[in-house]
Amino acid sequence: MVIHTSYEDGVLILRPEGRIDTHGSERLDAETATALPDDAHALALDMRHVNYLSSAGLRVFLRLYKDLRARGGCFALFGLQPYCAQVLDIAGFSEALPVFADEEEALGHIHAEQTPASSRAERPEDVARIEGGTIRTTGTRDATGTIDVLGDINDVLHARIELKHIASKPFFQTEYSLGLGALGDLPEDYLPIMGEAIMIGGTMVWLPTDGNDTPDFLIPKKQSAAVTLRTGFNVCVRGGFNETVWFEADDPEGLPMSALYRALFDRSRQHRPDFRGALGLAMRAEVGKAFGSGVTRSPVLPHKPANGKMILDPDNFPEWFEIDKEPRHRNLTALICGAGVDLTMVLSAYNQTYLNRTFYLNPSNQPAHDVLLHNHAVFFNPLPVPEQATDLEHEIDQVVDQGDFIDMRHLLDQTTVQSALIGINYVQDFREDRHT
Amino acid sequence: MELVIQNDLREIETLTRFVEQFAEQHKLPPKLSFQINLALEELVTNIISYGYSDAGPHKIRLVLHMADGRLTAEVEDDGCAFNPLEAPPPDLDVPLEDRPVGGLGIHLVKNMFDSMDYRRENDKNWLILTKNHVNVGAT
Repeated sequence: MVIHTSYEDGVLILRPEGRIDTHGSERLDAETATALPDDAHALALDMRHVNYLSSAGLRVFLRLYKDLRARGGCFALFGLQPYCAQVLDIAGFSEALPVFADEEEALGHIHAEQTPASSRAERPEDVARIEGGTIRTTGTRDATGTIDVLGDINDVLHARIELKHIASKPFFQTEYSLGLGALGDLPEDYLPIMGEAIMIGGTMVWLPTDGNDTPDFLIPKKQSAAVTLRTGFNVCVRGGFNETVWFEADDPEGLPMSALYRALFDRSRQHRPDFRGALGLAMRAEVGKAFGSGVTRSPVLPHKPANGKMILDPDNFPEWFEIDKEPRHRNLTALICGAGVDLTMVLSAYNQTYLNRTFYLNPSNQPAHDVLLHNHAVFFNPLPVPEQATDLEHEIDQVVDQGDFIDMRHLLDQTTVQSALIGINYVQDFREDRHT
Repeated sequence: MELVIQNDLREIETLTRFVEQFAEQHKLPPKLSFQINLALEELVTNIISYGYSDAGPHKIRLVLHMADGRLTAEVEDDGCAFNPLEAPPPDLDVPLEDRPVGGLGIHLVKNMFDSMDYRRENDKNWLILTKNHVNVGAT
């Protein structure tokens, strides 16, 4: 086994290549003993090129974790291949060890952990008025956010998805994404029933287009390799959240999603030089009125409309989409993941190819000409609104653990939010998603 | 296929090649090959590290067999009696810092196969692991 070593921003990064078996773990153990200075506080292990892992390796991880904790430092793993991730799961390490999808997220976590607690705690809470409500900042951190896109929304809208468009996306850790997907081993099983999907925190929900209109709810944290999402189109909010805010609407019925995004855009333009026109959001929200929509058949080539037009075309739209004219639900708790762009801004900073693959104009949205949104939501029976919520991941876990799951939908922009803990990702670019 | 190795941790490499050959011959999916390799490595490492009361040379015999969608792996050693089926599972609810390091390997082995049989015979440990419904040629 070869191990490359580098320092980046005060973090020692080890990049082993090959097998972490009985021998590989000895090499890794020796390498960390020599490469990690006594006063070093941060170690990240790049697992992208490790194709085998046994308990000998787990013991080294455990030692590193304990060593760094003991000196007030931080240890993180990233880029695990699926079988190795499964070993971590079975051993019960996944939830205890900090495991991340990629280097950016791992370093983001390490830097956030290394920020002295005092400087975090002493920051005054920033309460501000926005159009239609108030916003209180509950946390900020350095993160480089991106929106990573798999596939192309246009292939969905033309109902021309084929096996060649399908990516197999392993899901085993925290992720914030939405798209079109299905679970299943064989293409003939999953292709005909692909539907709206959302991954939020450690949970995944999808709505099979098998005619039953019954979402499938999963918490696959512990069964990594067993859960592979087949996706024809997926939009992932990656890199963590630069800011966490608590939002409360003035209107007890709530503020429509389009107005909420509008207010966040306006706020970002004033306060965030790194705002380029797009935001990725995840939230634990109290929803007043939930308007949903969703494809009712899988947009695969064999289902392509005979008239050759897009599925959004007025001739095809009614039979391809189920659209709520009245609220589907009222007053419940939701986990929402999505992204939006401010159409009043010049969006030239972004990679146009991937930007255009992310959004589309849904004819059933009440027209809002200044924002373009794409949001999916999972609904639960209403839970008590958390007091002093600050940790989004924790709040999401609480909802998943304690909530009674009701439904999952693509959200229409007229859906209203009464209050929410919102993670905001200041999207720096739209890119191809390489995490497959 | 059969392999006999010495009680020397360097033999883990031989074991890996043995599993690779078997997987190739039967066109096993990579996941399965990974699981067989992991289970055998854990068992053999355990035997070599803790199985003997003397420091002398010993032999460990491994057999992989595949028929009618059923895969079996046999491990035979002349070490001290050890029944992995009786090994207590690690307590995964204990915080990571406080968790004992032992017992993880056997826990992984149990999760890689569908069933495990153990018997002690002629001063030898016989362990037979079985995996049913193996999808040959799949990816």
